[in-house]
Amino acid sequence: MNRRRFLISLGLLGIGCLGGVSAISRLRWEGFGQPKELDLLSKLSPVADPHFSGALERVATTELLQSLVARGVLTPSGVDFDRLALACSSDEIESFASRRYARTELELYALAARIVA
Amino acid sequence: MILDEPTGETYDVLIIGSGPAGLTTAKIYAEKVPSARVLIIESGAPRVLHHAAGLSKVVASGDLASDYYPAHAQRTLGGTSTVWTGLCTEMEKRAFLAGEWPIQYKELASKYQEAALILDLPSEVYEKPSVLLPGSTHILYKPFYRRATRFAKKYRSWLETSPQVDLLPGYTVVGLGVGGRLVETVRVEPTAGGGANSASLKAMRVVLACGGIGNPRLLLLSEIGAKTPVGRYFMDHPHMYQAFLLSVDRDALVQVSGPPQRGRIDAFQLTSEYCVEHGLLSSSFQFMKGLAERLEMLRGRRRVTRFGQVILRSEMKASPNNRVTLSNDRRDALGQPMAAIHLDFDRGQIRREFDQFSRVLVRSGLGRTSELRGGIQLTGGGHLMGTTRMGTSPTDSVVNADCRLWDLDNAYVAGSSVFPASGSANPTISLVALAVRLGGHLAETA
Repeated sequence: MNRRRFLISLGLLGIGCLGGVSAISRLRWEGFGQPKELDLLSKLSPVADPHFSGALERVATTELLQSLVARGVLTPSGVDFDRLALACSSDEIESFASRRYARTELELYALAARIVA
Repeated sequence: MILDEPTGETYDVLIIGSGPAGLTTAKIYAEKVPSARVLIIESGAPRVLHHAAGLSKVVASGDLASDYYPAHAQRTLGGTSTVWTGLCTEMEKRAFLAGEWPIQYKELASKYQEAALILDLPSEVYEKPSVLLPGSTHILYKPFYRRATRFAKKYRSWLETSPQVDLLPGYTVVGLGVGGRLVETVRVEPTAGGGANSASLKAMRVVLACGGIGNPRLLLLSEIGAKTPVGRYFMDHPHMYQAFLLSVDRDALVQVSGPPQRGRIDAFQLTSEYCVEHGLLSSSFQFMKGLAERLEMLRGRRRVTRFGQVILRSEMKASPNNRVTLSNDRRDALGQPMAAIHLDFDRGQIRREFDQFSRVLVRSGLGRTSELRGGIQLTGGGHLMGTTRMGTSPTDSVVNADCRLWDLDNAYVAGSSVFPASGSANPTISLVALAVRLGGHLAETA
């Protein structure tokens, strides 16, 4: 249920073109009784690296976010490393800047670079 | 003792070639049968003989040029151990699991300890040849150990003083005389020329230990094994230097490798079980010199990694089209047809093996690779294998599981030419292990 509501808010964000990175970074999460903010900036800071700012350029930021949230990699508590490992363990391999990545981790790095940059 | 010229003695065992395979076979056999008399014939002199080097020239086609081969067929006391770089690691189980060898892996593995002693290697080489990287079920840490033991230096005094073993240097075997199912004579000529001094030597049993080209060439010159695939299934180890950049989690690496150790070179590969399951051959991915440490994002965590260029060393699929034959029109200084060699690498196979390794590594979160360098420029490793392969029948092999020629009852082959599959490991420790096994077999059946 919480996840569903989160996705709904995410969808509304996209539809309403509140968009862009600044809006997403203030995405609200209403779970566990009290509303609280999904502070993407702080959650993604540990994995942010400007090196990845050009990664997955053709994928919209909201799409990256949706993908990571849908698979439980990105949660209100931050990055779920177990979920990330699980996703990576069967991922297709993507190349970025001549280096090879599991698709999900590259999505995470790309999102983090865009949000935190 | 070291002979100046042939004698008329009939030896118990006559070994052609004084490289690691020949000397090991001789030493093990002589130790186990103290009454035995052994003759080792070496085409070169105790030092490199110019005339002998010329006898190793070949006519080559395919991926490796004619001038590649002679350096890897040293005609001198100690054979190629006079020039090798000394990298050793056990052969993988892959080909054994896939049923490509006629013996069980344990038969080879049980000889690695003796082989390691002969090659002056540390006990880790056989006690802990490989270990899974922590957190991975498919990636092995499988290092190389570098000890370039020179057999000429190590065994020279033994050869000079042994009452059992004679060394005849400076003579080249030009043919084996066969009667029925026995080699009856071994024809030699002085390597420097002078056919008037040729001789026919006799022994109860004969061991060919003259390399991956020399062994099939001598059989072809002697018209032995015509119904077997003599010379076919020639293999080397395709090498690609600076093949790609590799990062490996430092903590995981240190956990299995311990602190840096002089003479040990870090390398990685997929497990044999994984390779069999996915239809892959063996490949080894070895760090080159100049490693650095760098931060790398691995599965969302910033990790310190060991980072550097890699040598990709791969197994070749044994193909009957890669082969050693006799040249129709080129002859050596002794008037013998030169070896004609054809060998093609399969670049698609190299790419597939890299791709699988990279995929498994990235998915494991233990490291990362760059893309494979474009062009896939390959060279050989000087590991000449497979041309008198071991097998279960004369239709698909040249020697049986005892390394005895199918056609003959008293002739054997030592060296990596008996490998039916090469693995990706440098072959010396494995060929020495097989020579230990052959020496033991000759003693048991004396």
